[in-house]
Amino acid sequence: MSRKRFASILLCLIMAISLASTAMALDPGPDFYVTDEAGVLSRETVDYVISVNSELEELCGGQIVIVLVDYFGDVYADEFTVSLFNDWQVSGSGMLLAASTQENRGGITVGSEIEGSFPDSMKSQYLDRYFWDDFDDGSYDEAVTNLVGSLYDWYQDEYARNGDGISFFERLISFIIRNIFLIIFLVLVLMIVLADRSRYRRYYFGLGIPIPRYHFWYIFGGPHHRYRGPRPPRGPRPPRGGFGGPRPPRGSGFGGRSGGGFGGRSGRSGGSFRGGGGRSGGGFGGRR
Amino acid sequence: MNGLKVFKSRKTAAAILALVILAATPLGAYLSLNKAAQRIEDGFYEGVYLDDQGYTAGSMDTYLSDASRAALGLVTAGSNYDALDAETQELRSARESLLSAGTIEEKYLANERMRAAFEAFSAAFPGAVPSDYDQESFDTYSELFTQSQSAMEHSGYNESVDSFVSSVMGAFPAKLIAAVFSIDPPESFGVNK
Repeated sequence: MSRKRFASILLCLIMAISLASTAMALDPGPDFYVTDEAGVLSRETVDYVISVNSELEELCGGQIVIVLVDYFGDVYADEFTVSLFNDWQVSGSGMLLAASTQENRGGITVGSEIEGSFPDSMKSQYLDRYFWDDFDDGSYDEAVTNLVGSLYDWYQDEYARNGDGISFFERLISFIIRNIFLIIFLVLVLMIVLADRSRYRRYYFGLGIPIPRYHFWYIFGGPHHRYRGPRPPRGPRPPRGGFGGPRPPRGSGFGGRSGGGFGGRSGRSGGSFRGGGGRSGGGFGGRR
Repeated sequence: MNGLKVFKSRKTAAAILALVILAATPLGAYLSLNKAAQRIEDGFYEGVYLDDQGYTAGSMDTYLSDASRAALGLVTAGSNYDALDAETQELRSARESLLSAGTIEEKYLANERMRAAFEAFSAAFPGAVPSDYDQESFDTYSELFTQSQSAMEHSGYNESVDSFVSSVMGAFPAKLIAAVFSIDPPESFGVNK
């Protein structure tokens, strides 16, 4: 074997070993939150990630760690990412993104404290929506900035939902917006009931008797619904039987017969009374 | 036009009606049975409603994901130790087979392989003299793995399949329709014949 061939084989072996061990021997960068082994991020992006993390730590102790390398080597991206997360002991409510610029693969892993609220499907969604398009185009600064921004928004929403940092007023507004149709329906029902109650009171006021208690089910058929308004004026009286003609015979009592109405008490049953023509609603309040 | 007059007769109408009913009934039965079988199998991914307990259990697919996550955590812990190379590689490989499994039976077989690999890994782990952090990781991931396996046993999925096969597909006329139209029963989480 020639020297040149031997040297090239040796070089390949060394590269293979170094690539395979890169994944597992990676130390966090000096800023911890950004490890840019691939050297593709600008200083502005690094500063942005660090500033987001300082706010995040104040908010909830979370962390968003970004790792960009050239190659993962023979390691699967998920194993790489989880391994780094554990080795670097990222916070339990933190996230780590690891991506390989030359292989266009990578992913997010999160701490055990937020695994339930940020499942795998959500991780994929966020990456599809905010990261991969720019990453695949080589716009690494945009990819990282967009993703970190969206993840920070998620943290804000998540910790706001859990009752940290949201005021009563904001919760009230949120409740109203979510239930707007139900609220409109309830307001309409209330308006109908109030209008009907007003009509009910006018009805009894017109009768000149004390107003009984109104119940909301009267909108379906209370006593006031059968009131058809004031009686029309009577028509002219028919003419009498002629001037000077014979009077009709009188009754035995004074002033004609009684209409049967009576305002006092009676020992009799109600059969001999006549009221205003209404009917009981059927309800009963009292002791049975 | 005279030929079309035959369609005006009652006998023709009755015959057509009978034909339509004869054709539609088995077709409708086939579609219904197929749909019902599919609904049972959907329970693998969406969870099964447990009548006696009054709630929908977590899905087998979710528990398998949990088991996979746990296995990945164990692999990352084990990869720090040369003494665990073989067990780590087997666990890694078993997990890969689960991730690439398509059918329910394939997922079952992959899970069985992962369980065996987990047991071997667990037996070998103390011998690697792990650090405190790795020991904690092992404890956490092992618990998650064990819980997911236990949850799978209580998910009610296989019971729902057995109940459907015996009470619906095993009864007349579903049994006949299934035989005529070659309708497959829902896959249980196991080795299906």
